[in-house]
Amino acid sequence: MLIMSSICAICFLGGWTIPQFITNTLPFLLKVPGILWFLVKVYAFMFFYYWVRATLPRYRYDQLMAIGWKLLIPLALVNILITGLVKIMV
Amino acid sequence: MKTAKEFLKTIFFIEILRGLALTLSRLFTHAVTRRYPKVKRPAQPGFRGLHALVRDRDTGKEKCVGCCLCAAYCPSQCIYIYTSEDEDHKKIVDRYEIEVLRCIFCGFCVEACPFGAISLTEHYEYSDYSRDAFYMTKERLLSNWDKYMAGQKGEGYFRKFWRPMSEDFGTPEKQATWRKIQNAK
Ligand code: SF4
Ligand code: SF4
Repeated sequence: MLIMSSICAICFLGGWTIPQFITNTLPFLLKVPGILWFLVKVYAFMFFYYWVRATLPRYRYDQLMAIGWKLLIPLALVNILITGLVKIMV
Repeated sequence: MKTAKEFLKTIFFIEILRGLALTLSRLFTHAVTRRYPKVKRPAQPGFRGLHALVRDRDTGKEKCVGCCLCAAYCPSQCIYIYTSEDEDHKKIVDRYEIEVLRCIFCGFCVEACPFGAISLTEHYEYSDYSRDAFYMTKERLLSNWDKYMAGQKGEGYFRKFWRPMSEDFGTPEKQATWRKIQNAK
């Protein structure tokens, strides 16, 4: 869980950095060490883990498969397609 | 075919998000758990807990006469009664014992007793490490009465929760009874 949250924080939330527009308005935040931002993000992901786990204690396996195969994979494919089309057009 | 609305609902996991919102809102409310050993839930009236033999206020002894009706009625057959006869040909109850571990707390013994001599107290915290602790002898059953049914509680017990059989031997009005068939050949 810790490792997964860390990977997610690095891949999707920018790891130890914070967005530019925040530091532009509040420059003193740059003095805060990066590890703190990283930990905040990791714990946010861990909270999300617990949150989902408390809400859906046991997601039935066939439903899980249905979400994965019938919903998320087609959505990802459509996403690739649209991104590609946009790249070509624009 | 799914409608577009339903389709959007599945794509954005609306139901799951609603569940998440519910759990999140519950995060900020008080827990409903009772901290049991510290906070005890009072037993409701008529709770069927540990047994007690009624102590007669006049004689200071048990009311039980050893008729064995309760033992005969008991579904788990866990009441043992041993009686003997004294010089005046009176029945005396030598031993009245209940194996509480086998009891299912149905309350039939209380219902069966024509003398209102056995009762179920509201006491339920009597866990122990040995089996002997659950083997109730006559003395222990009588002391249970003194401990958990003293005063008003014991006096009101039978009138409140049981039709006092010791006072009223008639058939209750609401009970189905055998009726003579009229014009029977
Ligand atoms: S409560 Fe039921 S099971 Fe327990 S001793 Fe009485 S008759 Fe038997
Ligand atoms: S039915 Fe009542 S009087 Fe008879 S043996 Fe049982 S407790 Fe005693």
